[in-house]
Amino acid sequence: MTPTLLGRWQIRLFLLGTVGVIISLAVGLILKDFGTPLFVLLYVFLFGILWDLLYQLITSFRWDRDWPTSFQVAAGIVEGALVFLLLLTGKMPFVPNVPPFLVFLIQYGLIWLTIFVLLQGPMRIFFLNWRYQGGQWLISRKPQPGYSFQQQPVAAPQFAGGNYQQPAAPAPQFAGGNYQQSPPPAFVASNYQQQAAPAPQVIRSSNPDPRQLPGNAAGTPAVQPYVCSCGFASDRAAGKFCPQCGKPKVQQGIT
Amino acid sequence: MQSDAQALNVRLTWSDVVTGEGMELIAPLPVTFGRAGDSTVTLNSNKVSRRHAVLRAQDGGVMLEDLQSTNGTYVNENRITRVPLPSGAGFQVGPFHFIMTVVPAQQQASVPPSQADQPLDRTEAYSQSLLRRFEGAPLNESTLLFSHESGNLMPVAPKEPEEASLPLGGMRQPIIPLSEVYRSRLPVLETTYLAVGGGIGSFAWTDHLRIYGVPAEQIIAIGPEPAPMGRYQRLCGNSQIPLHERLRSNSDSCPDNIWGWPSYGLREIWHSIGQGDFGNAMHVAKHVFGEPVLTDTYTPRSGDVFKAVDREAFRIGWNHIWRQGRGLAIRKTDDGRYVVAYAQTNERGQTVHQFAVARYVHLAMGYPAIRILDDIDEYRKCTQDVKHTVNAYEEHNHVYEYLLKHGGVVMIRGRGIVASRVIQRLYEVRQQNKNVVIIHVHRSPVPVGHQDGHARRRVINHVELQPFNWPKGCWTGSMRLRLERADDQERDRLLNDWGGTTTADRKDWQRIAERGLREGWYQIYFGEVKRLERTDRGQVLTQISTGKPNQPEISLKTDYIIDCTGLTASIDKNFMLKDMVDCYHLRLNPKGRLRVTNDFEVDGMSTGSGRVYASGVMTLGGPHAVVDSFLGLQYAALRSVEDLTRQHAPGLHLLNPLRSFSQWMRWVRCVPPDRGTSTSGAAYAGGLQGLGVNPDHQRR
Repeated sequence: MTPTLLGRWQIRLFLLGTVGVIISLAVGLILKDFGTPLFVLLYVFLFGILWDLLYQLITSFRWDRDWPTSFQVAAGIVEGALVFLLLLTGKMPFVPNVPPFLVFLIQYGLIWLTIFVLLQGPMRIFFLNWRYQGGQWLISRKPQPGYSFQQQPVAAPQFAGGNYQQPAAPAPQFAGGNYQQSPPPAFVASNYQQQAAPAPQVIRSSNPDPRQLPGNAAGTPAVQPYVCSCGFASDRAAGKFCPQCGKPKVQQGIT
Repeated sequence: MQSDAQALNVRLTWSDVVTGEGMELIAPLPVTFGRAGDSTVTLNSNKVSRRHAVLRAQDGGVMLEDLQSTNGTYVNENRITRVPLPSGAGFQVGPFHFIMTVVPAQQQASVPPSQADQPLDRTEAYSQSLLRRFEGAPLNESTLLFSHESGNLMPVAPKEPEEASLPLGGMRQPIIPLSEVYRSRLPVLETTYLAVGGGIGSFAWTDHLRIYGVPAEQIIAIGPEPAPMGRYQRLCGNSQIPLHERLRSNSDSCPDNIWGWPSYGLREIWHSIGQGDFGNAMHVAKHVFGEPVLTDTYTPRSGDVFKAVDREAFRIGWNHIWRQGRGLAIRKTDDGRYVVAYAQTNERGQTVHQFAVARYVHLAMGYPAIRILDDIDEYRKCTQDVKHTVNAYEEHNHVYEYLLKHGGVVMIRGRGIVASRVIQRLYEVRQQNKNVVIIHVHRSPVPVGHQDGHARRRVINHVELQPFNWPKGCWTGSMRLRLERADDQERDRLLNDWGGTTTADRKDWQRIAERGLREGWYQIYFGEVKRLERTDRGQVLTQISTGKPNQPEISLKTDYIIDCTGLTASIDKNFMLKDMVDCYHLRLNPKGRLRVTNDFEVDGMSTGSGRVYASGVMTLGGPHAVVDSFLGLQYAALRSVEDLTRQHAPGLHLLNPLRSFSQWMRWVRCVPPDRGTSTSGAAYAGGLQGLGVNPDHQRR
């Protein structure tokens, strides 16, 4: 997993909010002082938000845009050290008494180790998409620019009675596996044509409505229809299962 | 000026950074290079300035001038401002490497004479001829095709592409009535989910479908080989990756496990500890945690991956899902589904046509062919000698056996990962026979690596280094998101900047190269190979034009030539996909491959509630860069299966965290997905032992 900035922030919020809080409460229970461990956790989180900006900057200098495990370990040590040094100054609000180093080490170390182990793998078992999204749970799925999901009518060459042979006469020289039918305005190295094709002669949807096409069913042997309980009709003889819902075809089907 | 231009035409050859497709352009001087649309050669890359460089005629020669570009123009490793360029010399603009040759004016046959004779308006005629001439048409590349019978590569490319005769009178209609399919009296299979290809891509899709809840009976996969990794395994073996060698794949990319955990690194550590091999366990742990900064990147052993995939194939019932066959054509049916015609080879070796009808179709047909260099192809056709010039993906163990006994000179062409692995293999031979010399021929030097933002790719010995075939962030990180959100032109540009041939940053390989260069048994030459000839003593003579004024041409005598330039995935080489694109007039993506949505649905193929999805190398140029990797195929499968789940496709249920966990537990126990109890004792001994789990405890 190579985290994005939003991924880093979401991981921090989610894992410190769950694992971090639980471990801090446990430490608080032992110390009989819940305030200090929880505020220590809050500082770790707040400084972490800033650290993540630096980490992302470092990532941008790496060709692979990755975050090696060794960096992760180093970052954990540096982050913890900074928070503890700041606590030592005694000037951090809400934490008047500096916690003993051992207590801080146990609290911070346990939290960090748990998160490290979770990030190395087990997280993915629960969230399949998480690793592909750079550690983000929440992700905006913007529609692809310049792209329509449902197919729009596409410019097609002259279309004559099911003959899909390309018209020979005006076709430009075949360029790079590019099946666009108009001559390219200028050569582009990657054989990608930037400009829209000129006004098409015939507009035909690439997804014609099958009901509008003239059927050629005369003289064909009738297919024995089978209507499943889910309402889907298919050929009785083909396959033992309904192609729509997968239920086995039963003998008492409606004919 | 017109007469000057008549006198000097230049021929430029280069290859597409990403697909490796060869390109050629013959044009009169001056020739301009830049990102701007009105350049003679428009180069879509962030590292190319709007007006980058120009080739001009001067004093009867050609002058290359850099137009104060940001990232420079390079000739022989040196950044230049203005140099005379001899014919045959190479230069680099951004990520593109060009070879320029001066051609006599009469060779400029791009303008047909009939066109020129027409009494057209002068300017119009000129612009027309410009258009015709400046279309940098890709060269028709030579390829080796897979034999349909054996699955092996055929040594000489067939003269005519095989025209598969389609049933139903050629399947001319775009919409075929289902009744017509049945009337043909050919066998028809009906199913809900159909995977065409039968390789790793089909397997990943099927695996996701099964884990998302679809029973095996509702899925059919059509492919040439029974094992999902059959062809891949054979190509690995041929390109010198035996079972104990490591693949160029990440520890977390597990084609047998959609969650990617436990990773191959952890499994190998676990397994080594189980065997008492603590040395290897420590070694692997060091790589897993130190990569890629402190140590080389961990990569799994190919044998472990194959074994793990076999186990998962057993678990999901692949043997019930797979049917032997080769996809020929796909058409929409009149009931909103698809019919796929495929050819099956029966026991007597006859090819019979069959149909499969399905509502949801997945196309993952892989690389249709292996690229072979044109000069080698020509040499093979002329001399019928397929022993001394081989492609690295062909079976070529005879080369190493000969060298082990007699020694000799081997030429390597190409600079990718396969070349590195072949050099390692030759080094192993050289340990036993010191008379082995390796000559590495590159078309052009690599003075600087690709750049993107602040980052630059490292180069050692004119080979760019990268742990995997794309930057790691393309799989799961910010680069993946950036590409997904980009438009077509931006995607093309990003792919050009991130792509290119690279090899793994392996210290052992670098040590081999350094030692060889020092001791002289590994030599690097630059230049364009003109032709190959056979000598009387059965050796191969290679004529190389170097483009250097003091030594314009060199010839090298070698015993063997190993072509490591790689695979090709031009859509024209795949009969079924080309037919589909032609029949439905599908738009292609900037790289000339299938255009897919961010959910990997093929644009323009939906009908009724039916959908066609695609994955693998045929979708390169779309939302995902790493389409031909294990994890890339799994990602494509995940996106398309989630898309189907949102459409309430039969059998699919959303994988919430709890269900995901319970399905993962089934994977651990090797129990088929989504069934209350195992059907066949469940425990698959070989696979479980591979995990270090005692199968006896797994029986339920």
